[in-house]
Amino acid sequence: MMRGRWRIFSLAARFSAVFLPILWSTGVDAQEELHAYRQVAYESGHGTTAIKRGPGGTYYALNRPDRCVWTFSSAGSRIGRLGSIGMGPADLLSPKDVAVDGEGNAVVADGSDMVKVFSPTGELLSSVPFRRPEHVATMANGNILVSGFPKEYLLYRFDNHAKILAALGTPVKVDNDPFFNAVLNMGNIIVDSEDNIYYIFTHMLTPTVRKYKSDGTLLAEWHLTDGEVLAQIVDGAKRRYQDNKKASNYGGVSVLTAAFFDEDSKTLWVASGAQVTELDSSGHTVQTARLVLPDGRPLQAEGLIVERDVIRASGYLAGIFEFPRPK
Amino acid sequence: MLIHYQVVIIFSLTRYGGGTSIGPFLAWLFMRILRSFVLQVPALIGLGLLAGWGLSHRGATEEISDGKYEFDSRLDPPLPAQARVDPGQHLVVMVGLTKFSPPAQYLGVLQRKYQSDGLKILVVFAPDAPRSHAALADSMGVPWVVDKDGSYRRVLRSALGHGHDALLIYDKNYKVKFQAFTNPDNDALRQLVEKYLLGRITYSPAELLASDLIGKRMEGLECLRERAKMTGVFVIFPPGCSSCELNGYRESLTKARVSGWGSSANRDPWTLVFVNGLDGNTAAIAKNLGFGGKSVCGVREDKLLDPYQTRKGATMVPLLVSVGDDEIVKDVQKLTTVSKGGAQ
Repeated sequence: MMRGRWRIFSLAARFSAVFLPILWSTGVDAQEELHAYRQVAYESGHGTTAIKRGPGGTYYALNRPDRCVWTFSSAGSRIGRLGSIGMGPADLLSPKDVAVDGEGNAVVADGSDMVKVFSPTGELLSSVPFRRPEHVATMANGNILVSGFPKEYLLYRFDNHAKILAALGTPVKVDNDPFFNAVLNMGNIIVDSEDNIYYIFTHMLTPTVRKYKSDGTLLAEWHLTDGEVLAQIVDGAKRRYQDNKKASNYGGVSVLTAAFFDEDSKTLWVASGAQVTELDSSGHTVQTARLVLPDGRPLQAEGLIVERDVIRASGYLAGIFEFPRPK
Repeated sequence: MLIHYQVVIIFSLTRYGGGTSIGPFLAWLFMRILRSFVLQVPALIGLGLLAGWGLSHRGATEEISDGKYEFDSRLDPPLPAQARVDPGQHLVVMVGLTKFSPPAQYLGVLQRKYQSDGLKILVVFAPDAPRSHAALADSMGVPWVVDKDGSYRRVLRSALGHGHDALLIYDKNYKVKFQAFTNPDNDALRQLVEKYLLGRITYSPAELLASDLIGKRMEGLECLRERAKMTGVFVIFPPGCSSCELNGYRESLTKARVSGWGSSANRDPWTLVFVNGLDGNTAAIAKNLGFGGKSVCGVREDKLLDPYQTRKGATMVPLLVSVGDDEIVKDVQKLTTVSKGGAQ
């Protein structure tokens, strides 16, 4: 009798030793998965990087191989195209990012060392010379914010006539080599309705977001730590960084790949590959989730728009997909 | 020069005895100096000019620095013979290649496609380029020239010897439309040629495929069972993850089928065609979706897609091809466009 009980106890202990850690490891850090329910704006499929919301529910999609910005209605039907390949004044050579102002004008950071402003119908309104622009944003008064390869300042503010108004933000000193330090300080720019500026360090090995007032006063600095996908990306980025240092190769891995400020919930959404993280006004993580395509692959988000019920995310290989917004 | 005058003075003093009479000596010295100026200074100036010209000439041939053209600026004459625009030509694509860069096969594709529309492609090889590169250009039917005297490098504004390639596109009025110090990818080159030769760029993969397929037969299909049916509607899943794409487009397929697209050829079940990707897994998924053996086919990429179609990534969206009873392709549309209820 005793022997039988001991045997049962022994089996239960063995079972627990083997399976409980597995169950625990799969249950504790399991990230919510958001499954895309449809692809939208097919005309800007492969090659889509940034997507931005325009007035009246329209949205703008930057397509790198097309060298243009496609505009879409809220229903996803194509409205038009801004720019095309070339080296003329209204052409785009290697577009990097797009921002949209309140009138629907598109501000495009181009690899031709220019930031070009297009009207909604595609006319070139102005050009701002800028060395290696990477990201752009617009403020409520139409001012343009541009970031690039920062050495002295993180970003610059221009008026509508391409006149420089201010230089904002001090780069973090994380590497003695000025080039490596500049790469690590590159960043995306998001502006909320109160003209607060969020500088999302895209390549920093400690995922970081800074919040500035419109005059450049630093309000807060947040560090993202939650989520499996983010941890994996940071690990990969650190390895690549060390390899690059050895080879004196100034490339880098983008850790924080897209961002969006949701005015309804007043939260900042930051994407790192397939993971989206929602941050509250204090920089605390509200939730994280993984973006999954209909065929089960992760969507490596390079563009993000968060609306009341839907998240639109774009990836270079996949195109633009809609996901349910997590509650 | 200074040493020369010292020698003259010492020689003069020796010759005239040092202190007999200084007048003739000074006169003689003045004449010698004058003569040396008259004869030597022009000679030295001439030598200097010659040396300067030589250096500048050397710089022009071997030390060409890279320089950007302004958009729409005109090329400076004289141009080397092969760079000139002949009657009937509207656009010239000049590609400068170092010894490390063989000509891209795609240049031949562009040449064949648009030669009749006035496109001229010229490959300029660096003098040290291997002969095999020229043979490759010959095999593609692309004209080429070896830049022996540097005249093409001057036009390209790029020293090929510096180790990078160059691209220059100009129109029949010799106005520069595009310039790069690199070899652009095929899709960029296609867009540039379309823009400046045809005046419009094709972005849609369906339009690209349509331009090659409409009016022709679908060939090269290999189906799971029986002989391939060559009429009706074919759903082309381009290269990539065909089987996983299929699940994602289940709803679109149903909607497109209901829409009645390709109705003249719509009596039979539709046929799924997987480019480079018909495997057991794909067939199983297709079967689950109600597509039997004869309605599931594979095709080799080069049998269906014209090499002109550069946007392979973009063609991950499935395409519908409507084939009439005469087995000729009538229409091509994106599946997603049809499933949304209309053409673009």
